[in-house]
Amino acid sequence: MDDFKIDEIEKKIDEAFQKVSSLEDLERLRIFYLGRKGVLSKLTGRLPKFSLEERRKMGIQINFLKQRIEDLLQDKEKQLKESLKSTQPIIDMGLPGITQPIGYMHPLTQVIEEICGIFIRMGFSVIEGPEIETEYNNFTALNIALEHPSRDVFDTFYLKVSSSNSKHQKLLLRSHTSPVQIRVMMKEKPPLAIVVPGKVYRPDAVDASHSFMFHQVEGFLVDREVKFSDLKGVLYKFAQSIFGENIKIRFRPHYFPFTEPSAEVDISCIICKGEGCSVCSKKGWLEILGCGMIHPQVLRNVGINPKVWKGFAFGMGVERITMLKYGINDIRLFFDNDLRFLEQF
Amino acid sequence: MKFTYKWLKDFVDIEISPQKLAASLTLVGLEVISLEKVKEDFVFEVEITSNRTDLLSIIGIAREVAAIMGKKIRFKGYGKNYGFWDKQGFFRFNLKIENEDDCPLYTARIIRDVKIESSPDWLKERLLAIGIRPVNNIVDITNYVQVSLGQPLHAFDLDRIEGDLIWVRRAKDGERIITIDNRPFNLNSDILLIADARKPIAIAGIMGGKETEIGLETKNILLESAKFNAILIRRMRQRLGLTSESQYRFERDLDINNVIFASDYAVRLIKDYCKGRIVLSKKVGSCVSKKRSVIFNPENVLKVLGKSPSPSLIIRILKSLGFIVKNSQEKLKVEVPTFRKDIKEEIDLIEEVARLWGYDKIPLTLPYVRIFLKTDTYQKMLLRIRNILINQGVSEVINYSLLGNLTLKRLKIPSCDFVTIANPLSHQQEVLRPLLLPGLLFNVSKNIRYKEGVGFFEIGRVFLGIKENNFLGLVLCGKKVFLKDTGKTEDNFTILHLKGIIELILGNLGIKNFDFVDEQYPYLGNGLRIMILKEEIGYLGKVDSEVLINFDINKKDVFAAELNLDKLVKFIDLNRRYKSLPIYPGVRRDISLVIPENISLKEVLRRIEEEKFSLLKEIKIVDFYKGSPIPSGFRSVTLSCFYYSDIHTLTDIEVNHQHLELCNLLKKEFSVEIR
Ligand SMILES: [Zn+2]
Repeated sequence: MDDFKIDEIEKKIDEAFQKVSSLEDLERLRIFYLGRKGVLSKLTGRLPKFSLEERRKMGIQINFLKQRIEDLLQDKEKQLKESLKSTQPIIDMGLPGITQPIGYMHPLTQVIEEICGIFIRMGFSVIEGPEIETEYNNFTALNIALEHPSRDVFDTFYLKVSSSNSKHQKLLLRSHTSPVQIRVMMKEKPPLAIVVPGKVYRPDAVDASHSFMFHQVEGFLVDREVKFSDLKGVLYKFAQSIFGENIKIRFRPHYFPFTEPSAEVDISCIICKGEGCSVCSKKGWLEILGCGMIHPQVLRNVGINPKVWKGFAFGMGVERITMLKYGINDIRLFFDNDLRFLEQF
Repeated sequence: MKFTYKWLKDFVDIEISPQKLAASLTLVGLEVISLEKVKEDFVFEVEITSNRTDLLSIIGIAREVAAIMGKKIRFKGYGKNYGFWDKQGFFRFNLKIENEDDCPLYTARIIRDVKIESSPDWLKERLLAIGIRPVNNIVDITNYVQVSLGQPLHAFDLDRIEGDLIWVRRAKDGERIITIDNRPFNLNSDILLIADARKPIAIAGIMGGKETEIGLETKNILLESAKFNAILIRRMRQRLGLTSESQYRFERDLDINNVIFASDYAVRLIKDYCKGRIVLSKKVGSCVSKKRSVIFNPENVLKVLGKSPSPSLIIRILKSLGFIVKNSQEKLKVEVPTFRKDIKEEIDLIEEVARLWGYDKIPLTLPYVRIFLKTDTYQKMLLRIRNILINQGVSEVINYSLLGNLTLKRLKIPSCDFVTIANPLSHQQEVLRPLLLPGLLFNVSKNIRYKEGVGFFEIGRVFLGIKENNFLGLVLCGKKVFLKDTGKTEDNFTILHLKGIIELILGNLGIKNFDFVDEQYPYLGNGLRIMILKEEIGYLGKVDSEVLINFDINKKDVFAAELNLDKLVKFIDLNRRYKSLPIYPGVRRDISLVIPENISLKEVLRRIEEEKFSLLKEIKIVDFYKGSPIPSGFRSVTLSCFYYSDIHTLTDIEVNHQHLELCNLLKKEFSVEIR
């Protein structure tokens, strides 16, 4: 190695590095140049043979060389590792992701929360009431005469109760959530803004669109200056929140004993957008709720002066809204509790 | 209520198409539920609300149409009185009303020598169009008048009436009648009859008797038009289970002023189409109904609706509906026509104005909702519970609150203070559920057929006595199957999974002092009572295997729990105080010990806590194991102890000292072996 010339070594370096194709080769090359018995070490070992001037010059050259080899080593290593990575088998993304199993909230609960949430944001409070009611709260106080045909839409389950501590009042399963209006107004002083979610019962034969148990959300507002136009505004906002900004809404005169003026509210059919289809029986409209100004007689019944206070009230069937919202065609699915159904929501 | 376009046009001029008419009717509250072209006519079906008795007639609908279109009602043949009203009568016949509360007015017309035959085609077609089967000219005319004017009529074969008497009276016990539709009824004093001198000839207001029915051989008829007590008719319908078009109308309290009006119209039609001559018109009772007025302040329209038509338009609307409006200072005195029994006070008139003016003219405004904020801990609690359960992989169900007695028997629950339904529709609706478990077991049974494991919860009311409480029910069955990066993993549900979920919920609600105590439940194999302080909150346990078989769940364990949420809410504490994070490093030491199985770990932890080791900040069970090489009767348990001081970094000596004391306590009091 007498003819060891720094220039010569330098020339061969590039070629040597080009040949390297694995990390093992690279390590060998590192040992060859920078190892304890490597080329550079040998060069340094020979330095004492030269004059001081030459030694200084060569020292600088060797340092440059070393620096260069180290850079090359680093680059090459990076390059090799990179190429290694890209040839390694990646995880098959066709495999399912790994999660903890979760449960599902019942679609009716979800819709009840959505409905109540809208009214809560408007300033209403949620109150629940008992499912066992007195005949008075369920009918009489709401201006529904016991022996009048207006009662016929409220077929009712009566309870056999032997205990007489209910003051000879007949007990029943509430056929609507409206008796909660009576309970709240008897207890609390207006102004009031309340929503009431809950189960109601009517002895209906069960089929795809009837159930003897279903859910309603009732809402009412009592204050000094409450108008039918406020009811329209509130329910329009509600319909938009539930069914989308572009929904159209229509108020149709109707009769409820506990509100006057009363209305049924239709939304433009969400399936056909008002063109007419089988879901809306070609009418282009879908009925979603009943509402009206609280009847002065109802206010009198709970000891609120209708000359001072006015109110509006509305009530809707949660199953119906949920069925429309999700395109569910059989009310029984809600109570069958088949996981294959529940997991869709 | 069904009617046809042409029929309606007999009463009012209509210049718009049937389709447009349908839309207009719907918008004033007469919802058209179907409109069909039948031959040269259109058949409308309109939903009539129970307050509008007057709309159960074509003339009533025509009045609304007239009001909508600013027309006047017209009626051919109106106003002509047929026959004189005879007090004595040259024809010997008597009418008697037992009680005018039951029947305030009864009228009878006797028409002789009628010719019974098939009705003219136009009449048959109109009846058929609205779904009434033509019978013969007399019967068809009574039906036609009932639909046209809303007043039910009934024709008897005069020659089958015995004695010269119509007597409107309550039935005697044991009296019987066979109705026109061939159904026999045993009667009693709840039932109002039309009787002749010897026998019942009709159930008043509901249906005539077979014996006096008009037949082809009928020659002389008696035509009844009357007013019956609406509530009485309603009770009779309920008692007899007998309905008819006539009963439907009478139950809705008809206008007494229509009784003679309708009878007149029928007589005219009978003369025209059945020949015959009227020989007697007779009435008993009173036919006067008092005029009623309502004081109406037009300013209140604005207060109720938020926008108002002009006072002159208000008056025009009211007049178009047949109200007579008189000014009295700024208020109006509005006289109500007798057919509008639904109008009782000012608000009723405001509704009339709003309805005819158009609800669409009322703007959309938003109310000023005054703050009435109820802090609702219960709702907050529900939200937390639902979130935890869903995150634990448990799905929510909603089951019927009504159950069959048989279901409770399957649960082995002795019948006690259950609330029973007086009028169930089926055997699945006999009792209000006293607990949530039966529904949840049905859910398991249904779903476990195609799932390896299920977890369900329900939040709902349960009923004991007439007390109702909100409960949370929870069931687990089978195994949790999930994927790890090594593939499928299974985790069989045990009572500990259920306990874990309950502890998670109670912990999240800030409840610390809860406990599980052994208890017997008929439907649980081994049951535990969940206690908070001294109060029973619910149960948990493994469902009895016999019960499971009753619910068609085979070879699977089901773990169930129920918590009384109304009790639970009293104990929850949602307040949290921040505790500063550790400043000095703490020391964790694990103890692996072998402990006899009969020693309760709960007791071990309780003792350690009781000792109050000053540096021991936390101790928990992090592992447990049973089986080889641990001798039977023993289990191995790993306790993880965390020592910490908030004033300095602990030295080994300090920790060793307490840890040794702890180990000694375990050895001495629980004869454990520390490994
Ligand atoms: Zn549609």
